[in-house]
Amino acid sequence: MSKIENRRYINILFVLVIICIFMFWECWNKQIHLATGSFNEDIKNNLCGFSKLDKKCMGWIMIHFPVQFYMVLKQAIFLKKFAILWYFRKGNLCTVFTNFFKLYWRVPLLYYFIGLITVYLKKILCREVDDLWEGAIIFCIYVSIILMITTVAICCYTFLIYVFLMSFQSAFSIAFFLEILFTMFGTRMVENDVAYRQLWYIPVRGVFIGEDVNMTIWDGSLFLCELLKLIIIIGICNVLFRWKYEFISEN
Amino acid sequence: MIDKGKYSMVIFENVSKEFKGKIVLNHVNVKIAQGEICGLIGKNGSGKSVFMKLAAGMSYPTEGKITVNGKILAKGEFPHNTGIVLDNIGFLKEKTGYKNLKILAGILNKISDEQIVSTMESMGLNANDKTIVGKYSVGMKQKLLLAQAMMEEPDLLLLDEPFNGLDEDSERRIIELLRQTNARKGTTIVIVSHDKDELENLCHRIYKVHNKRLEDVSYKAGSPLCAVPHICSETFIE
Repeated sequence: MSKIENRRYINILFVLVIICIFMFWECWNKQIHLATGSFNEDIKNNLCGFSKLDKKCMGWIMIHFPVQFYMVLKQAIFLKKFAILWYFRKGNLCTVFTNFFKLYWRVPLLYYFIGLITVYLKKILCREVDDLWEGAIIFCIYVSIILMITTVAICCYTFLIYVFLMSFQSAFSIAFFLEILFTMFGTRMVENDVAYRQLWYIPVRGVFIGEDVNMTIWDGSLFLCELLKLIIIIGICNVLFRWKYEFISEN
Repeated sequence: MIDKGKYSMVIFENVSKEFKGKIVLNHVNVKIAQGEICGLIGKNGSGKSVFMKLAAGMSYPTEGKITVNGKILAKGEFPHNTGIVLDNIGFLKEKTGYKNLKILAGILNKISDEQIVSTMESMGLNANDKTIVGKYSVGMKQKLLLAQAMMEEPDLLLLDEPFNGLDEDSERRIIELLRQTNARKGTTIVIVSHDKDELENLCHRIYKVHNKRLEDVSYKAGSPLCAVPHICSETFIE
């Protein structure tokens, strides 16, 4: 087996192990709703969720974000060298982004798809959905409605994280910190803000799924969370992008 | 017909570069004429690659001014119509060589698919080869790098160790190709190599990066092409 193949298998194995840990964690701790990041009742009602983070919640954060950033970082390192050639040919962010999107729109899609399957399996295993077929139909509707929109948002987000990493040597740790911060704010926002729920979440539920279905994850609120993160990260990246050139050449 | 010596393609004026307080290039002054093939030699870590990155706009001088193709390079600005082979660039490993070049060519849309194929063939690469770049040998990757630099027929080629990993035949073929491109299009070529013999066969002028400065060693090397000094580059003192 060649080195490349070896590495590929190790990566797949790594992702599978992480998914297993995810599922185990989620089944073990039913109170934590994974994707919306909603914590248990006690924490949800607390101010911003900052002062009373329990150990389980922190555990989730500690597992989830390293995985997310492992994937993004891996992609960033892989793409960095090629992006220099893109940028060199036409030095504007738009060109690089367009090319990045054209090439890698499948990556975040796959990433989210894995996430959706993981969550769905977790729900089945944790007996959160009674009827498997009903769950499957709901799942498909959710996927078809949300996935493409979310993909664009996540693709932008992934790309910008990539730029972010290119831009600043210690970006990894900063991004990690921001990710945690945004999730906390995002969590609070979608949990407590009725306007956001009405904007996206309830119409989708009401028309296509029905109010009584207990599937509150991977919905519009997640999309809004991601969008919020995207907007903030775009702002930060715009500033950090200036240092990109020196980073490329001196590392 | 090339109007050799009409103007300087690359001008370094009093250029210094520091990395974390360590001076790598110190007040370098050099002019590389249009249509010239210029070589750079020097020990490892002497600053050859830094010179190339500065000329490519991938690094910015701590002091001084760099002009490429008549345009002063501002921070974060790349020179137009320039092909590069530098050590910090690479390809998409999971795609074929042809696909990689096609993606890159699609950015400027200046050349046809046929031109990509012919450039690959001139490098000794098969455009129909379905091998992904991740499985390429070092030599094949090097040829692909050269192909991406040359395919759009730029005015200036900045080649950092372009012959690394190439066998003798390929090296000879590419030297010939560079010579032809230079003669036909008047392409200015700057080549970095640690092997002086390699450059003597090709270059009009050779500089040695020594003591953080550029020292002209063409005449010492006895380069026959330097008998035509008017087309050659020059170092100068302000």
